[in-house]
Amino acid sequence: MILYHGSTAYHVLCCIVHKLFYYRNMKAVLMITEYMAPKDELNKFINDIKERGWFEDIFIVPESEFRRKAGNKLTERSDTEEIEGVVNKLNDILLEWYPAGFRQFDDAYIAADQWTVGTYYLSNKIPYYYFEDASGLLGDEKRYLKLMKESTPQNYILCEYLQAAGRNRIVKGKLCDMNNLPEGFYDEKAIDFSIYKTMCQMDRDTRMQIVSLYGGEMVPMPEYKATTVFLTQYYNNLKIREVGIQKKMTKLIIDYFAENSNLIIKPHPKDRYIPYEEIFPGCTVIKRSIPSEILPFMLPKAADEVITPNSTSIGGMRNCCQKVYLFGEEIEVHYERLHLYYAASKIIEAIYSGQELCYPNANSLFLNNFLDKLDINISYDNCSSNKIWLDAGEGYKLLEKDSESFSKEDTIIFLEVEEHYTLFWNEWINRENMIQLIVEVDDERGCREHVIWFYSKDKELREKVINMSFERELKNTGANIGLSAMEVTENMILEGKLEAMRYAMQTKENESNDRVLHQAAEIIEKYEEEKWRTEKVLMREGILPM
Amino acid sequence: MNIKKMIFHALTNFNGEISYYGEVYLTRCGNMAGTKPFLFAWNIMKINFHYGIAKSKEPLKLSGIKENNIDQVYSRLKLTQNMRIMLDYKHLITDLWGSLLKPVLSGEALYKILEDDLQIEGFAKARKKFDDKKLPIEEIYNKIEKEVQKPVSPDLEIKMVSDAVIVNPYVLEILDTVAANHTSITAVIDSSYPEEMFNDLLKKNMICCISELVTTSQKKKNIGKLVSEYVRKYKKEEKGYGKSVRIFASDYDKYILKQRRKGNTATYYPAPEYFLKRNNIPDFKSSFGELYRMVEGNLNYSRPLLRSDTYQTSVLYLAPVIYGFLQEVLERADERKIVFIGSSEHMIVKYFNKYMGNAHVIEWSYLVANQPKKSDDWDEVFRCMPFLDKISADRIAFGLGFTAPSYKLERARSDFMKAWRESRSSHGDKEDNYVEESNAIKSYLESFLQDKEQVFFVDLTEKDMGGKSLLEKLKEYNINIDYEYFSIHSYLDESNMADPVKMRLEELIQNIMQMELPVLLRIDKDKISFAQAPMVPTEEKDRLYGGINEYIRIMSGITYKNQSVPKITADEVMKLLLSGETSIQRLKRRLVG
Repeated sequence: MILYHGSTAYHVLCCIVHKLFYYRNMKAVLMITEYMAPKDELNKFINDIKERGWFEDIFIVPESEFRRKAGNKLTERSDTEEIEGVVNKLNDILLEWYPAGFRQFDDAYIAADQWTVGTYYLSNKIPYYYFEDASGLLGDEKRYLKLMKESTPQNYILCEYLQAAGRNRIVKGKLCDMNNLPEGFYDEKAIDFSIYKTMCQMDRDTRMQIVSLYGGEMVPMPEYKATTVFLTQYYNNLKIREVGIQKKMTKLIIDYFAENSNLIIKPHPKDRYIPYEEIFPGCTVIKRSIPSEILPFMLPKAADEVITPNSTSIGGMRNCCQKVYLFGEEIEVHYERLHLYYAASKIIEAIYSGQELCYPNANSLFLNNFLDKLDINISYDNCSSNKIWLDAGEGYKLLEKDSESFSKEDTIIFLEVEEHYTLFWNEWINRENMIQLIVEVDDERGCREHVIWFYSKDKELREKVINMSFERELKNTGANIGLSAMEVTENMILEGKLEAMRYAMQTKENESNDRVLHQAAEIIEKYEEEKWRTEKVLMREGILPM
Repeated sequence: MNIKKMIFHALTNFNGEISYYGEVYLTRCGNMAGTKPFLFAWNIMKINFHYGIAKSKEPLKLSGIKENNIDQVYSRLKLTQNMRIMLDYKHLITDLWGSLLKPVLSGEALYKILEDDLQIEGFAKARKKFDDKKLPIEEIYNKIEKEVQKPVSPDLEIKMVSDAVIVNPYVLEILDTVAANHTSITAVIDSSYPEEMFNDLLKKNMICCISELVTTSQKKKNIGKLVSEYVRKYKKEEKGYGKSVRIFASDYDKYILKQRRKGNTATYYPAPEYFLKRNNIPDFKSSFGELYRMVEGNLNYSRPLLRSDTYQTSVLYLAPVIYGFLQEVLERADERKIVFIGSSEHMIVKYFNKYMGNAHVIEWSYLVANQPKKSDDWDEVFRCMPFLDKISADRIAFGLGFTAPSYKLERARSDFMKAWRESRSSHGDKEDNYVEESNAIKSYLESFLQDKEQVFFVDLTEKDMGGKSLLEKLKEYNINIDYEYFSIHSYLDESNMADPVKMRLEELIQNIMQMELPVLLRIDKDKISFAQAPMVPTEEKDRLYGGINEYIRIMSGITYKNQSVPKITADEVMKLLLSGETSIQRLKRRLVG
């Protein structure tokens, strides 16, 4: 008999697909932690699986009850003895709850091994197979552990203590989607297991049974229009935990990357608070509870694009689309920087002629996505010794880190993300070779200007840039973005101001010290002012029972 | 609704204030209901007495708890929590007018403006007399026509009201999500205005979460009856299942009180302007006052959490002054060319260009017009440009082409003057230098101004000294233009306050506005030199500029037929600045030290 264990819809899908493909005729038990879905929903889901007769038995693991009975709450300060005590208690409670015991199973496939069933296997040194937490996430252990630490701190402590998350040496194998692991990643225990590939190998009936289990229906895709699938995230998993920010970020990405597409939105299972139908009229919103891995089997053909800000589910979608746009963690905080990257890619479009493009200090995901979207084909011409450098201007990276590889004949596109004018700290910068480009963004927050500096000794390139301009309306965001150029040397006033700014930046040491002291004083003052509010109001602000 | 909650509501249902503070008290001290039930009940009674019978404005003292000033608490349900409550219901009934859509002008203030615009004496009085929410606006106007004996149409009132509406983003967020999660939203509005007006407003603001919209005038029923009718209808549709309908409104008496008495569930959302009492602001009785309260309430309190101190200070105290000043500039300048004297980086210039038209700017400073030659000259420069001393001497020296120690200018004065003298003498004859500089300044000024041009100068420099020195230069160089001069000083001077108070407040505003501005040092034939002022943390700056920008954006978006929004008077400006003096001082310390 086989044991399967999972805590999310993705895990359970892995268990079902694995069971049906590899152990179709063997008896198996499925255990699901209670946190997978609200109680009623979970009971209904389990009944639906039971009706299909795939498992001998299915259990909901009452983790909250276990934790309550185990008593001690673990913190980062808990010592070995305390952790060991909790583990032992959990083991006893688990056996009390499941008296048949776990020795009866021939094999166990466990996802989320930091929960009680997993800790039992680990602490009793019973070998098992491990399912990765999301497609390709085995290759990003750091992110996985960070998410766990933020969402379930107690689990994180147990996980570190027992070396869970598939890291313990007793793990027999780690089932993961090899296609989605980062390049160069190697793990000797890795076993390729892709839901997409496995389901493709199943017979159609079984496949459709799985789709229908989740309530999946075929999604219409018009022939005449490109289709974009957008995978959302749960606002609480974002760096800025705010629904409003998530909404703005989503609108902006859609505006830039899926403006005229037939839009299919697949919300994260917990993403309940954004009214996608209202924001993007005409879009199709897939049921939240459907795992995104099922989506390929609900589409009549491959989608043209799949977009996600930073969802871990993107891995599973690579199989069913032509292009994937992923934006990484920076989008969760600095989504508005997309404007600058869009403008930068338009500048590259205007000047590109086979130069090598270097952007070690810029967000490569943002830039590559735009270059791809604008169909700018970057193919290095070996004969050309010139390079185009793109720097996002945070700190003064380009000038310090890459000064050796940087030639003064090269072109620089410098995005002022922090408006610290760090480019001017470099002595050799000749301002006659510089052009200031203004990116004007007019949206609900009003009109703002961002600066991009363009540096090149090549007069022809400078002329191309001076003459370029564009305007774009971002429909859903309700914003207008425009770019225009102004030659700095033409304006004596601007020249004078820049020189003063440059000098001020050169004496940055004193300025920085001043700023640090200033900010420290500010923090203290603010703390004192808001002490009462912080302690007495904000911390206590919560739901008023109605 | 559970029985405990029903009892609680019954005890705190006297008026909106009691209900709100009752909820706040419950949130903070709810555990006392179990541990010290008598004390809990006693405190509820106190809240009832304080906000109900006594109608006291004094802080309320509760027994048995350390922090008892609950009237200072700003408590809004977190967005997601609010949504979570409502998602359980099939239907939501909202007042819409007052919660989601906020009319910035209503009642007597609106009627007075209408009377002025229509030029019908007695209109405001008649409009008030016949105001009845059960009657359509046309019928009310028919009655007014008979009363004032003149033909009058409701179109202007409808247009004015529609043009002056603010959308509450917090409420919109809630309703949008609730609608997307399959809860139908019905707007039951207590109003004489036609449904088309509300539908147009929803459309204009791209709000599509409302499934049905009715008004009391359309149904010719009072609001209590109409809401009850809808509650009954929805309950019947859902066959009496528990969570069929919920009410969400900011009008306590008409929507919340009666429905709770009938055992229906309702969420009270106190209107944003209610929380303005937390702030020290004057009680303006003018039309501007009403507008001010509405806009400020919405800007500061339509979010789940409190705004930062910087944002609140800028929006409450600085923004109305700056906007009032800009309105005055626009009005006085009439058709003349508006030329700001100071810096193109000045926030007032930026706001003007963004919302009012294109202004010209002459970069200027007192220093450039009066190049100091001896110690007394420097004293005069410091007196006229106090902010200059905040810039380190080396920055100024660099702009002028030599080096000087890196500390404050006042301390470095002797080193600085020596270096300056040396730099001048190294360039040949002193007199030749001065003539050359003078010519450069003359051509510089001529590049901005044309002969016999009609100009409205707006001086933004410290203590008006820059602007006055520019006027002197115009005279000296015989630049012939026809001008009028205006400044923040002359704007504030129109108030009846005592001069020292005016000066104190003026300096405070100047100090904040001066931050980060590059100071013009010298104009040469082929070079114009500046010194960069100390930088300010970006986030603070964003809050300051963002807050003022929001206020101006909303105000300049509100237009009436024959006039812009009611203007703040000079006296009101001074009263406002006096009320906010402590906060502005704090802001100044944070920004410029």
